[in-house]
This record gives sequence, C-alpha cells and structure tokens, in this order.
Amino acid sequence: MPSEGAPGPGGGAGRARLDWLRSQGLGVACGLCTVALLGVGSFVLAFTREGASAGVAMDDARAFFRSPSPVHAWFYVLVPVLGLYALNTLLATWYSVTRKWRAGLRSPSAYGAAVMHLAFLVALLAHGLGGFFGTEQGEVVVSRGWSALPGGSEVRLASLEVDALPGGMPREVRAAVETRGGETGPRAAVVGYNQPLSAGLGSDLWLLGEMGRVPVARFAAGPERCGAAEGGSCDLAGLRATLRRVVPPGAFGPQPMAQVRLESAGTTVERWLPPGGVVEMGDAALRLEGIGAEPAVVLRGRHAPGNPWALASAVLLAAGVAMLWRRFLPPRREKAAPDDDVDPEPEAASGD
Amino acid sequence: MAREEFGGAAAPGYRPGPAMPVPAELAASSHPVLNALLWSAAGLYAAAFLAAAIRPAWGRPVLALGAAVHLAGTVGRGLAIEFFPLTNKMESFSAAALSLALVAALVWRDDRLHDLPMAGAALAAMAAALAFPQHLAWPPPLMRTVWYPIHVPLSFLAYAAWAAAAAAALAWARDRDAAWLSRLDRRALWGFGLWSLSMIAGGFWGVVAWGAYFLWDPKVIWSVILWFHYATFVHLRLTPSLQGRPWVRPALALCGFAFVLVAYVGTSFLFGRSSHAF
Ligand code: HEM
Repeated sequence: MPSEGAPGPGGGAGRARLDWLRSQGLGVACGLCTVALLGVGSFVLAFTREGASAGVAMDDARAFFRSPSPVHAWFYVLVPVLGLYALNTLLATWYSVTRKWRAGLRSPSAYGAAVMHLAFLVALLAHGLGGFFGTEQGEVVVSRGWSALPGGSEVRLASLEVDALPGGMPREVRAAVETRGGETGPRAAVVGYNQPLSAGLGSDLWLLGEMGRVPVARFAAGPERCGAAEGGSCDLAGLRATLRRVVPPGAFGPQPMAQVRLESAGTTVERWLPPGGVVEMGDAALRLEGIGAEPAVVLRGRHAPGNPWALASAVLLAAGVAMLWRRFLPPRREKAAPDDDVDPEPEAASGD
Repeated sequence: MAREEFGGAAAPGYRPGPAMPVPAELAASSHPVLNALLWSAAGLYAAAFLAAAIRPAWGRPVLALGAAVHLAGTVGRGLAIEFFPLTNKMESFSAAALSLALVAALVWRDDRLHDLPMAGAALAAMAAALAFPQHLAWPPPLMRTVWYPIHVPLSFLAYAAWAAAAAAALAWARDRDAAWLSRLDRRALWGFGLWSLSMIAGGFWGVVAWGAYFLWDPKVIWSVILWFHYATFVHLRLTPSLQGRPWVRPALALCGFAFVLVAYVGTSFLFGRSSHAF
C-alpha cells in the first residue's frame, strides 16, 4: 500500500512530491471531489437545459467549451481533478504492482485491483475521445436504391420484417441492409432495435430510427431496372439516377411528378418526369416506370471513437472484478490468502 | 412475421406514433393470481418488519417466505409478457423490494437496529410498487435486449448491498464493534462489484440503443457518481491518514445510501426528464 505524505527512503523534496502524488489520501480526495462535482453538474445541467446547457447533447464534452459559461465551472474543475485522479491512480498502481511482483506474488487475485485501475484509466480515455472527437452523422432514409452515407459508402434496404405484438407494437424489426463502397466494402447486415449497423468495434454506428414508407421511383433503361427512394440513387446502363423529389398528384397536374437527376461521365441532366416519362442522355434512354410508396427505415449515424476503448475498459473491469473474487468472501476464508497485503486493519470475524 | 420485399404488393407500412400503442389484450388484464402473490408478499414483508421490531429472530423466515412468494409473482408476470418483467414504475419498485428482501434475508442478524431498516426498506419499496396499477404491459421494443435483464437485477442487487452496508453503519454507530466495520466494507465492495458489472451491461445497451455508453443525463450521471463514491469507499480502509477515524466509513456508507436514493428515485422527480424515465 502506498505510504501517504511521508517521504520515501530516497528522501528529498522530489521524492516527497512523488509520494504525495501516488498517495491513497490524494486518491480519496480526488474521488470525493469527483462525486461532488458530478453531483453539482447533474443539477446544473437539469436546470440550465434551455439556457447555458442547451448545446450539451449525448456524450459531447465540446459544448462546455464552445460557449463557456460560469454555471459550468463544475466541469472546468472536473477536468483537472480527473487528470490528477488518473495520474494518482497510475502512479499508485505502478508502485503497488512492481512491489508485489518483486516480492514474488504471482497470484492473479493480487493484481485484481491493478486491473480495475487500468479499466478506470481506459474509461477516462474513452470519455475523452468520445466527448471531444465524436460526431453526429445525421439521418439517412434507407429504402430501395442506394443512399449515400458520410465517408463514401452507400446503403440500401433489401427487406424489412416487422414482428408486431397483438395491438400493433413491434416486438422485433429486422431491416436487412446492404452496403458498398467506403472502407468496409460490400456487406450485408441486419439492423433492428438494439442492433445497429456497426463498424470499427462500434466507433461508427447507424442506429434504427423510424420506419415507414417513402416515395420511390422505378427506372428502366433497356433491359436494366433499378429503383431509388426520395434522396437516394441507383445505377443502370452506365448512368446514375437520383430521385431528388416527388410531388403528389394535383401539384403539377393530375399525375405525380418526380424530379430526376442523371449523371454519366461528368455530364448531369435534371428533369421533372411523370410516370412513363423518358430522358435521353448520350446513347441511353431512361424511362420512369412508376412512382410508388415502399418500405423504408431511417438510420441515425454516430461517429463515436470512444466506443472501442469503452469496450476495452468493460473487459478490464469485468476481469478485475473476477480477479478480486477472494475479497468478496467473509474473512475466515480470506485469512488463508497469503497474497492479501492490502488490509492494514485486523478484520473481526463475521458470520455474514 | 410480416415481411416486406420490394416489388411485391404494397404491404401496410408501420410508422410508430409519438406514443407507443398499448396492446389492448394486456393493458386491460391485471391478473388476479399474480396480483394476489404481490399483495401476499407485501403482507409478509409487513409481518417481517413487525417481527424485526418485536422479536427479530422470527423475522428472517417470514421475510424469506415473502421473497419466495414475490419471486413467484414476478416470474409469473415475466411468463405473461414473455419477457423480463420490468416495464414500468410498479415493476421497478417491486424489483427493488425483491432485491432488498433477498439481501435482507441473507444478512439478517437478529439485531433490531440492523434488521428493522432493511425490512423497512423492502416494505417501503413494495408499498410504492402497489401504489401503482398492477397492469401487465408488453415491453417497448427498445427494452428487448439481453443487456436489459442483466443490467437491472445487477443494479438492484447493488442498491440492496449498499442498503445493507448502511444498516451495518447504523449498528456500528450503536456499539462501535469492529465486526460491523468488516461487514460494512464487504457489503460496500459487493455493491461496487455488482454495480461495475451493471454499468458494463448498461453501457453495452446504451451503445446498441443510442450509440453511446454515456449521456449527460441525470440517471447516467448519478450512476457514475455511485460508482466513484464506492470506488473511493473501498480505499478508505487502506488510507493511512484515516486509520484513527473509524467513523468515516459508516458516515460515507450512510451518505452512499442517500446517493442511492437520489440515483434510483430522485432522478425521476428532481431533474425533470431522464433517459431512464418510464
Ligand atoms: C485515484 C486513485 C486511486 C488510488 C491511489 C488507488 C489505489 C489503490 C490501492 C493502492 C489499492 C490496494 C493495492 C492493490 O491491491 O493493488 C487499491 C485497491 C482497489 N482499487 Fe484503487 N486506487 C485508485 C482509484 C481507483 C478507482 C477509480 C477504482 C475503480 C475502478 C479503484 C478500484 C479498486 C478496487 C476495487 C480495489 C480493491 C479493494 C479491496 O480489495 O477491498 N481504485 N486501490
């Protein structure tokens, strides 16, 4: 156990400072400060939600600095306190682990606390990455045809299954999607409630939002066919057809109309077409076969670079708890543990 | 399962409204046998509470019987909705009561000052549960994940372990016996271990449901507060400057239980809105 305050055998002011920095007393002080600051913060956030905290969403930490406010003093103090807490934990763990190792302790339970400490440090890192580098990627309507995702990949809906309970509430939703392009390449996945489309160990996520039906245009060019939902596009006969917008019957005449953009080798053409309408472009002729409503899902995107680190922290935390199993037992059996040097107090017998 | 493929006949689309429709069959039903089990459990908790006040040695079997009846009622509700039966405030308070009763029966010491608050806490949580209608309801789709039935029981058992630590603190304040400190430390550590695992499950759920394991939300912030409070707590025993101050751990165990109350019930009432509000 680290000594507290008292200089180590090396003596000197530097040594005393190091002893203080890794002392248990400083750790306890940082812990209690963290509790108090977060407690204050929870009330401040709740009562300034429409004001100074209006920009604070999800796990974002940048909002506290974007429009600094004195009511967020708790957060500006919390950051250095957590920094000191982390340094203290790191030094204390290093000291305790090296000392135990040198003393010949090899039992995993002797290192459970160290693993927990590591989990804490990795969790702090995750919060920093997520809080300062995470971004919301907006919403994308995914239906027939390819919809572009930020980062260069595209996604489309292959099928949508909704298992509804009596009364209509969905029990399960299975939206089969396909992606192509971007870093991950072609891929098929199922998205549902609690089942996002995920890449990079959760650092990029597309979460199921709403489900419904959206206007979809079906195109034909010679024997080739493809369909695109409003805002999406599809490829056929060397062309890329994008359905920009659909207006219902009545707006421009008795028929619905689709605003279609065609792209091919650097040329772009944009037209309003009724069902059956044709646009010519180079050698190809594109026909709007029909406009209908088809199933669609809304996916909400998040770039959350802290998530893989949080996963690592979770693994360490669970491992730490498991390694400490002996400490959960009543002292009678615990006394048999030769590696338990962390308890400076004689523990009285207890029958719990 | 309704399957919508492209190009086929237009299948009816589903668009969830702002409020999830409550399924008619279940909303109306409030199962008489399941309700009777809950009310019987409440009666047994009340009897255990009285026993703790009058003759503590009789309290434990009564409380254990109450917990067994309560567990049966809870399992029955789970079978009825085909899921983990914690979908509303009634079921939440009921699960809190069940955890408190189980842990109280486990740590019962035939000691009025120690047992009475534990039985009282179980009884109070059960009374709060029964103040709400006992209707059965389907869980909303976002609850349907394996993380949920892991997250919640672990949290409630941690709350109960910390309640037991606070009960040991009361007993220590009376007779200053180091045995109470030892129990207090172990119960706080149990709570911390269970809470750590619960935070892991909650974090996984947060990622798959919202895309984030942490939110600036009262319930989540208070969960982190509890974690830091008890992480600090488990070090107090190892802190040289606190060796001569045995009252610090009991004091912080009581303070910790106050934090538990804020985290569990306070976040629904003190803060306006929370991601965890039912
Ligand atoms: C910030 C300052 C901290 C310091 C100086 C510190 C130091 C220590 C030391 C020296 C030990 C006992 C020695 C050992 O077994 O290696 C210990 C045990 C422990 N620490 Fe920490 N720690 C800190 C923070 C944390 C945090 C944030 C956590 C949360 C994960 C944590 C969790 C634990 C646990 C669970 C134990 C075992 C307790 C027991 O056996 O009763 N510590 N800590």
